[in-house]
Amino acid sequence: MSESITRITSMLESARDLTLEAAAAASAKLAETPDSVRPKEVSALLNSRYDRDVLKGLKYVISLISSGEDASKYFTDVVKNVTSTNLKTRKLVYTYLLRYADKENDVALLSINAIQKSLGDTNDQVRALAIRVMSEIKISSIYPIVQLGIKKCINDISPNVRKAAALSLAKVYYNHGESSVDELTDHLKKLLKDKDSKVLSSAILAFRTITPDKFELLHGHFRRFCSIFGNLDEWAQVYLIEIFTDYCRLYIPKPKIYNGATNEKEFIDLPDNYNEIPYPVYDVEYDSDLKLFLDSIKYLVYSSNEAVILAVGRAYFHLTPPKTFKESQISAAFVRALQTSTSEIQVFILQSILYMAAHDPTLFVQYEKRFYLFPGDHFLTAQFKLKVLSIICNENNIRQITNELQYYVLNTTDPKIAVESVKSLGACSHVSDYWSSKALKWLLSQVPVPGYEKSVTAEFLTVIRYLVQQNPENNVKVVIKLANFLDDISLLDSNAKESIIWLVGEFAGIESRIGPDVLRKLAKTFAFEQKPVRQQILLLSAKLYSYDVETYKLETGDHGLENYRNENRIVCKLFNHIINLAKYDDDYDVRDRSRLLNSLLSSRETQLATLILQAPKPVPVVALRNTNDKNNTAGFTDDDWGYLGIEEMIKNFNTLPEWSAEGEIPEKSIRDEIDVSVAPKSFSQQSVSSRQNFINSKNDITKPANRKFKLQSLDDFFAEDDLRLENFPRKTVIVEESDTSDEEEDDDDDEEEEEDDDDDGEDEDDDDEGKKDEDEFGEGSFEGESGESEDGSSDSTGQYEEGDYLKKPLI
Amino acid sequence: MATIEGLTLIFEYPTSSSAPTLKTILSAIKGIGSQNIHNDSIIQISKIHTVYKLSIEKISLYALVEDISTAQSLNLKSLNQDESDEDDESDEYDEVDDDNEDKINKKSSNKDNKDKISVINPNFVFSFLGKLIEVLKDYFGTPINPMKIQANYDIMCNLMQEILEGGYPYITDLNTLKDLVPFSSSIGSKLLQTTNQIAKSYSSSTSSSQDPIANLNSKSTDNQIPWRSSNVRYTNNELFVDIIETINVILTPQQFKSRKPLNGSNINNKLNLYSNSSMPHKLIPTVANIQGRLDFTSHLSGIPDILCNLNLNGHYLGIPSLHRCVRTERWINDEGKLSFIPPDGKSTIMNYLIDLDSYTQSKTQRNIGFITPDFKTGLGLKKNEFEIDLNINFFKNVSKIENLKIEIQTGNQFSIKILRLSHGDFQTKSNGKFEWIFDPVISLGINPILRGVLEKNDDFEDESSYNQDDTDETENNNHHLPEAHFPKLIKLSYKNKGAVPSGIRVESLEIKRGLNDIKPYKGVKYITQTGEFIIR
Repeated sequence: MSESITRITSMLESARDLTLEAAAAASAKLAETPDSVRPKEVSALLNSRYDRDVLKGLKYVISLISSGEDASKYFTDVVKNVTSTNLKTRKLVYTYLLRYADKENDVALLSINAIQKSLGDTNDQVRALAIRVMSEIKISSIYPIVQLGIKKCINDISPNVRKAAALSLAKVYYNHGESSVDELTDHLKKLLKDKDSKVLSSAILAFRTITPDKFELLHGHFRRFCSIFGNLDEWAQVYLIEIFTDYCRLYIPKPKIYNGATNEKEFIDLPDNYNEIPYPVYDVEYDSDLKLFLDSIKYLVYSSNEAVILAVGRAYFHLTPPKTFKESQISAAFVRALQTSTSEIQVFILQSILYMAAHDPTLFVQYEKRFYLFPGDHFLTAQFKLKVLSIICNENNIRQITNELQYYVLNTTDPKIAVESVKSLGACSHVSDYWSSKALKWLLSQVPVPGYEKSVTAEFLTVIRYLVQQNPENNVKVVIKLANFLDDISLLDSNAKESIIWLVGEFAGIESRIGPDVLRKLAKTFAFEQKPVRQQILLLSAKLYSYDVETYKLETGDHGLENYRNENRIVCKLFNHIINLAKYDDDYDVRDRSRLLNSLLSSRETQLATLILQAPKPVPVVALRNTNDKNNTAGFTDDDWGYLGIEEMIKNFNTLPEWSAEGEIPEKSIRDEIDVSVAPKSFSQQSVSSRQNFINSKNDITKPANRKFKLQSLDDFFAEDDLRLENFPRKTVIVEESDTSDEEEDDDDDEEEEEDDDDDGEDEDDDDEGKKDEDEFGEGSFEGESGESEDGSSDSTGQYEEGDYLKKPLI
Repeated sequence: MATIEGLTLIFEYPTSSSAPTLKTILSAIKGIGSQNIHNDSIIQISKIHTVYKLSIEKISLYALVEDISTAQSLNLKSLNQDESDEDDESDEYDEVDDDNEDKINKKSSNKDNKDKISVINPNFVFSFLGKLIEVLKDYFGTPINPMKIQANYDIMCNLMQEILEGGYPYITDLNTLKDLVPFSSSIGSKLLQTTNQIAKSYSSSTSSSQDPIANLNSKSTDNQIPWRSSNVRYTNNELFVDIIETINVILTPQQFKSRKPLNGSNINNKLNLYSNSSMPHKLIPTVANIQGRLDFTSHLSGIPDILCNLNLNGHYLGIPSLHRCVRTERWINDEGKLSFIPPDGKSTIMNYLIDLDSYTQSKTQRNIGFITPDFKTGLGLKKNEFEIDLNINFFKNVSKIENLKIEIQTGNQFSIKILRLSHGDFQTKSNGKFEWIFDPVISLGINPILRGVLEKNDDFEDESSYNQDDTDETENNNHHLPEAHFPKLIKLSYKNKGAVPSGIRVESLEIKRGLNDIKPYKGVKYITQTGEFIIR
């Protein structure tokens, strides 16, 4: 009975709550008071004798700050309440004080006294709050007072106060800079000895902030910290794992790998490159301290914090060989975290997986299905899943993976995902020649299918081009097949046509029989094609002509080409025909191009034409270089990273100090535990100073010791920024430009003469414009990129990665 | 493209007076331009400032992280001056919840002085923001709405003060936070309408009306267990376990794997092939997993030590994530035994993932829930009809299915003509999406069927008529049938209580220590829901 009554009451209450909430929101903003009198009223409230009124006033002020408005005019009124006996009031005053202390230095200083006083309060929460606020105020004149306060708090009996003091160190360092480091380090040393894990959590954080390079502070604590990993809070766990991972690389010998196949004690040190262990079966022997560390963080893979899992993964990946990594079940934890986290976190888990799988695909190969896409996946998640799939692909799972990828291409609603899938399909084909030809066949079958987005068809052709260029001799048939698609004028959209014509042109050097026939057919439909296609046909004819001239020279030895035009060669005729057609084209761009190519090729010097038209084009970056290739151990190149698309952050996250060389590693005994049983007060100064001597003598091995913050002026900062911005996007193109500019000038001169000769009245006006185009043309748009914005068709050659044909010539 | 008006700032917590406001940050992001941003949840807006964005249920949290190791002397103010001249904003999210400046100061020890690389764990900030959301949800109830936060700016400020200290995570344990920032949530109490809750909210509201300092003085300062409130007292002791499992599965026709055409010439080719095959249709899972969560609600006095004994039903849970209160070693040595001192109130004790892909097919089939769907294509005279069959099986302890809904995607140019519909309602949504909706609660043992045919929309007729004819010709030669189209994707969603698909059960729930002779009320609840239940 009573239960049902309370139930009803609670229901009524909940209905009331909803209206109350809205009312509370309004009252916090003092909505009923008109704007003009509001400041007065707030001041009156803040100066009231009643706690409740003060609180109301504060709530209003806080709501101003919280919604991004300026509340600095109430400074004096608010700060008066710093001595309030009500803890809630005081907390709000502190929040306010921290926000505006910089602007009202003098008034803020008045409050310091009150805050200092509360350091002696009987309530530990008040003491902790006082030191936290004090250390955060950015007024340099109070620095000594803060130091004093910290000193006092470090020896406080309450761990809450000591924890607050530990974090204050980091804030003091942030506010007062380098000059405070020595003093802070002394405090830190005391705090690192604390027995309470709460305090240690904050102390570790402070260590990371103030003296991230002074690993020597940790020597004596290493073993103790390892044993209490589980008691630290999750944030400190992340920091400590990261710190200790670096520490192990610097101060602990590499693990030894024993050959498991032989009984003899044959061993090597852990190799620097991840996948380079020569033994098929091996055992690992760790230094006892390294083992202690690894074992103690092993349980942390059960953490619910993804950052912890990432940190554990990093530690195992960089400290152990694949065998231990696999045994530790970190992969399983990564995969679980992937499933249960939000998309923002997923992206970075996937990138980490990708980073590790790129070094050793076998680490994640058993979780292949976890990387299949769900329709609800965020684009970035999907993208990295596909990349992981392409990396972990091998003979055993390629059938399923290709099936999946093909399904995505066919059925995904997002063309971006389809493009990524096609890319991955290309990347998967590196598994074997059989699969490569299979992929090629499938891609070929998809090219003429209508209904694909332009970008997807373009990607098909890019991948086909990649696969063909991998092995041009064996893929003549593919090109023929592609060329056959051109026969039906309506089968392909112009975008795909362009690419195929371009590919045929590029193939002319390898198999000379295809080109002329394709050109012959195209010549018939020239007039009906779209503008970009006409341009490509023009280019194709020029390429074929240039190759034909070369052949002619070889055959006849006639280097002056005296009789070439009279030879009645078919390519020559075709070329002239196309040029003639293009001369009367109604698009000025096509006319210009035809003029350019004509003058280029009709001169007797063919070197320039050869250089331009027959320049080798690089293979598009589709797949990661085969990681199993033992010859190529130089690590990953920029291209590889470019393919993987891993963000800078993950790369940096995986940048660790090198393992120290054998001789540089100090004795193991440095990690003998410091006695922490003594209370912090009777802390022996002796032991520290002797420790420091040792450290100083070893300074040469603590590599980063001489690294200090470089002060940088604002101007420098921005100057650097500008530089970076300027340099970056132009990098690849500019080089090319300067290379060819000389030749181009020559070219222009030549041309002018030529054009004077065949006096072509009506087009003369366009000449100036035409030359501008030529500049662009000469720069490397060999596939006839229509960079002109006249008709907005500049995306027509979007399938070629910007500048990728300039970067790496195909040999 | 929405403008700044579409984006409401709800709460901003700057950690210093010089911290830029959210407006400045957004304009800085805008200044960078959307093309240069690959991943919009993490954007570097200057050399040392990175903005992290976490979006959950229409609420976005922004955190500005400063890497002070790279440029010590650089003043934050420069950011304001530099980038404030940008004008309009664009953001697709309605609300901005929070803006905390998080100074993360990290520096790696790199050999060379010149290239300083700051090692930043990318998920550190996201984990933190996720935690923050969790705390807010517990304080203000789910779902969080702007109103709740606006009504409690003071609580928000006090909370942020404890959670974030000097730019670092400080106290994130919910129970400790509740000790420090008492808040009698009017909403929170509704979640569990037990007498206990009411009693508690009453007592806490009375206690918080007292002078807090006096109140805190009486408390023991030496709290040994960071995740549990000290001095918890209940008149009625209760504990509840909720096991919630989410099924994620992709079902494909059986022939898919073996007969997928490599050189098919059109999108629906695979289905065409099957439509004429006489093989029985059977859906088999391509990908299947169960995502499980064990929530624990504790209303127990003192410091109870609990042993929860799970019957895993033969499943291997991989590496689950365990709340920090769970004794991990106990779990590792004896899987299925959760031994812990629970935090007060509600908390997620365990998250696990059951990988059904490693099972045999029939075993997987048994574990993907209580509705066995079937999807047939190529039916009828013209072989262009499809049928969706739902077998809602009887299952022990399950009495009803809630919110059953089937989404059908066909692609833009088609609409579905219904031939037969045995239960529920059929609705057309935009963009080639259709929904088959049932009553909020339906009973078990029924067998709803939907039979339909896909028709081309008029507006697409002209465009594709050429292709249609073209394929007709070729198809006619082979099958004498026009090309048939079928739904691309079918998505099933439902919820039920009483049992979970994996069959995991709580065998026993013992209180080992800490609760003297009190027999608390124990309750266990099982909930099944679908995540991505896809037939394709």
